[in-house]
Amino acid sequence: MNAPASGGAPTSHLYIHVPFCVRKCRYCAFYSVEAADEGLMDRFVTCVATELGSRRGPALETVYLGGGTPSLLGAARIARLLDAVRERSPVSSTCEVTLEVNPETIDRAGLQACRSAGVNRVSIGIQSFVDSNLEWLGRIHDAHRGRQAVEDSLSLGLRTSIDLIYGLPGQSVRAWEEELVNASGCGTDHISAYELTWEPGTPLYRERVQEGRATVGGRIVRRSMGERFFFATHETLERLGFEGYEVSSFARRTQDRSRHNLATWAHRPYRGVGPAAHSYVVDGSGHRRTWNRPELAAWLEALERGARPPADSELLSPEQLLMERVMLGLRCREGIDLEACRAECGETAVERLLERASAMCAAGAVELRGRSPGDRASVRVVPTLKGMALADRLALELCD
Amino acid sequence: MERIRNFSIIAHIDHGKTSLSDCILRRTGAIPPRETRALLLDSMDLERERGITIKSSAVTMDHVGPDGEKYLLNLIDTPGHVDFSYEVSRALAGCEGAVLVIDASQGVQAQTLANMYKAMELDLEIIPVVNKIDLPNLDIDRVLRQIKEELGLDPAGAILCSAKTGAGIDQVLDAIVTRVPPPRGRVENPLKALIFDSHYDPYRGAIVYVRVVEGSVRAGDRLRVMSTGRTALVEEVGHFRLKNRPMARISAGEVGYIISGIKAVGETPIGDTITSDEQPADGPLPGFVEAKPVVFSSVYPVNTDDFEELSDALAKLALNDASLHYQKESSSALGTGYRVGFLGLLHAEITQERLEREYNLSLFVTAPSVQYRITMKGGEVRLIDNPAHYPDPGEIAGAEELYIKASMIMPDEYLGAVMKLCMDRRGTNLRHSYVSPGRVDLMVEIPLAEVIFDFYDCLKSLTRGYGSFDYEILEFRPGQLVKLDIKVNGEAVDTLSMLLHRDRAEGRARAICLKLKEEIPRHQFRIAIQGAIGGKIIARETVSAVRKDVTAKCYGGDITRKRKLLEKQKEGKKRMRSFGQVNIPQKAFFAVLRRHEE
Repeated sequence: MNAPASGGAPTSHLYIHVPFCVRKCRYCAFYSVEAADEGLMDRFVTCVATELGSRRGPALETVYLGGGTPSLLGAARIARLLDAVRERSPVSSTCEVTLEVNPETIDRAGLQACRSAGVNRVSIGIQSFVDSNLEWLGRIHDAHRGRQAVEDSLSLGLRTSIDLIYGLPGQSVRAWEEELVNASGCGTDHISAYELTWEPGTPLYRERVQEGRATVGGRIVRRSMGERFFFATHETLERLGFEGYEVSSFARRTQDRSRHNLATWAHRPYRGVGPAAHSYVVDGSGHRRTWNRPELAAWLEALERGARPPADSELLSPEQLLMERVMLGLRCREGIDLEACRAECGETAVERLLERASAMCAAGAVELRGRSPGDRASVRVVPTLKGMALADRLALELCD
Repeated sequence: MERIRNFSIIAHIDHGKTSLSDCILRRTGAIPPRETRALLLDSMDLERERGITIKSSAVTMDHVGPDGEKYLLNLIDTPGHVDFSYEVSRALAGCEGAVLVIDASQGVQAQTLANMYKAMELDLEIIPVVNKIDLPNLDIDRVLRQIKEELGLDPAGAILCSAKTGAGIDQVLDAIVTRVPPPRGRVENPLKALIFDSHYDPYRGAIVYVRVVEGSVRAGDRLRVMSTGRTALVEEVGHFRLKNRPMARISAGEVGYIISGIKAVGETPIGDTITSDEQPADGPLPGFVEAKPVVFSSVYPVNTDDFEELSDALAKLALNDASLHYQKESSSALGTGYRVGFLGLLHAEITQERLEREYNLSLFVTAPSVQYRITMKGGEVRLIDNPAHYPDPGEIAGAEELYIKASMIMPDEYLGAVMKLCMDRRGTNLRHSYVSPGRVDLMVEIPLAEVIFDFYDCLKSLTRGYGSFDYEILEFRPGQLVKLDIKVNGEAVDTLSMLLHRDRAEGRARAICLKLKEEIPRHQFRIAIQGAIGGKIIARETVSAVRKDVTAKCYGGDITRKRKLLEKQKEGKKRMRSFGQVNIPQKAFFAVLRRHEE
């Protein structure tokens, strides 16, 4: 994409943030507004088109409509959005076009219409197959509706992913494992399974802190339980035929992986459009992360008068680039791409990193893998499951 | 000399000593009416804020007595806290009378009694004054009864006043003139001047506050400090008015200052006697004791780069505080700092506050500890306050610790609880007596080490704030001393070693291990935290290994935030100290060593 409105080099990955929800879930820290009316949603779609700009860009490999609840827009507006995208960049049949869906906001006909509009992958916010869990999380759908949505999506031939959350208060590892079996049983080809995080700014976090059951800043309440859940998730899903290709992402086959997310984790440039959307831009000025402010009204207002929406950005230093590559790489089965690091951050930094990584091999946290034995240039630092579970900590140690 | 009156105002803390002084100064015109700065005598911000006089001071006033004659009144203000009881006694030694202030709502308290006894020992005329009579709902009769029963003074001689409204102030002034005797002493005798304080002035050096007891002194004389034999040329003498007022000479009976070639206040110790070098007195005035620190803390700059600033600040404070003793020390965890000796807990607290406030330093001050007297098998005696200097236990013949005599006055319903507290703290020789119906004075001999930790806080909470406390230092007595080491994965952490009584070791070790368990982040391996005496483990905690440390979600919009979090943690790691493979955050040391439990 190439967009004069906010500048930046062409990228082949596009993210559109749709900041509308029927109701905010208690645990969610993503930016969204509740109870949007039709008019507001129409204005949003028009403004996305404006923000995309008029210059033609290269063919897109992935498009991701995230939120918020993008399915809340309805098939017609989703079609308009994708038309606007196609007007500027070729979207081939091999392009992965993902739509995040809340089961309550879309039915089979809606999904069918979205498919006609170009959507070929849906990510369904199931979160749980247990009604009491859904209620506690503040979800608007129930377990039955969730199953129905998965069935509808699969029957339409859409690539289908579901989101699940574990580590709810009172939840047992055993009950969670049953949910995973249910999830696998409903036929989905991709699962994103997250530990519940107590994100500052969410109602859940406030309740917890006020009840005095979590320490301030304590992201995870029962750390030791979190460990058991994490390993149980990976082990159970592997038995069920899924590969954990990232900390929280599981795919039945290689082609079922989220190509959009993989691009992000592989440190490829991407363009984000919509309020609160982030972009990663690589151009003559260097490596930059930019992000629109999480303010829908200001974003609309700016684009409607032909201005750039309010945004912030930062230019990444070689050390920061390395930190990002290491931190993201250790989260993924693919590991850290040292060749790319070498190009961005220099030989010395990579040698130092390799030295530290070698020490970690002994502890069984990472492995060093080259395309062929002795081929130092192609070596990647690949985390074991044990290492993936400690990715944040290892990233610090590798970049020390 | 017949028309000089030297007096002091003494009181329990917060009973209004300083405001009464201020009121008297205004009434006599020593402070001009338009001077708005409140509480003139407490010149440090800290003194005004805390309502505690830290240093002594003095002021000379003119007053026309009831007989129509002009009198010279010298008010010597005394420090207001138990840590400074020696300084108080020296200031009182410079007077013939004392105004004993009693808060009309609080009545007689421990320091009221302690200060009165000091004044009585020095044979001062005591004028009881009931202050704050403007407060509502007072039982003045109860206070007057206490004056009779607890102080043994004639309540008919008590004056009711309010420093706030000015009521009764004239009666206080008249009583000072008519009841306090004039000073005695002969101007012809060789000079004997009692040092009751000295202040450091950057331009003039030490300004020595004296009460001239015998003889006189003038500029150009050569003085001699009797305890040290140090001599110096007198540059200026004078009286204390709103500002120092130079005089031709100051003579027997008078209160004033001497400026000489002496620069450091440490060379003019409180209680010492100044005489004339040419015509020395036959002996010093009685009662001089060298002030010795009894409470010790280590002081480190939180930012290790600030060590030079800390050194400068301590040197400057010591210029005006002869009782401040300090010595450089270093710790593997906290860097370079000082081991500082204080007269007591308040002295330690005030010093820390002044360092932080006046010198803008961010400091870490360890929990206070005491000094032990250790006799080696060879007979050598060592005073040790630092665990690092603790000798091989096999070489030690015996150890002793300092005891104090504490006096606590409280309503008798709390006696049982406070006695239990004292016994828990190894108190001995408990005695109590009723100072008046319903109120007891509990006296106990107790190791200083047991009092410096949180004893005063416990006393206050057990007695719902009604218990008051005073103490005096007794002597060294035998005690079972051990050195407690804290080990992390087998390696002793020097900064956390401490000397303490054997009976206290296990409890303390457990508390420290538990605290460290909370503060040391989990590593990828198990960490054993142990408390040990020699080779014997007396407490143990384990920090389990971390198996998971990864954020659940990290999508395009999360990367910047996540990276910043890691960068912050990387910064935090710099403030860790490594012991073997274990990284211990600096705040873990703070949590274990800090004075107050949170």
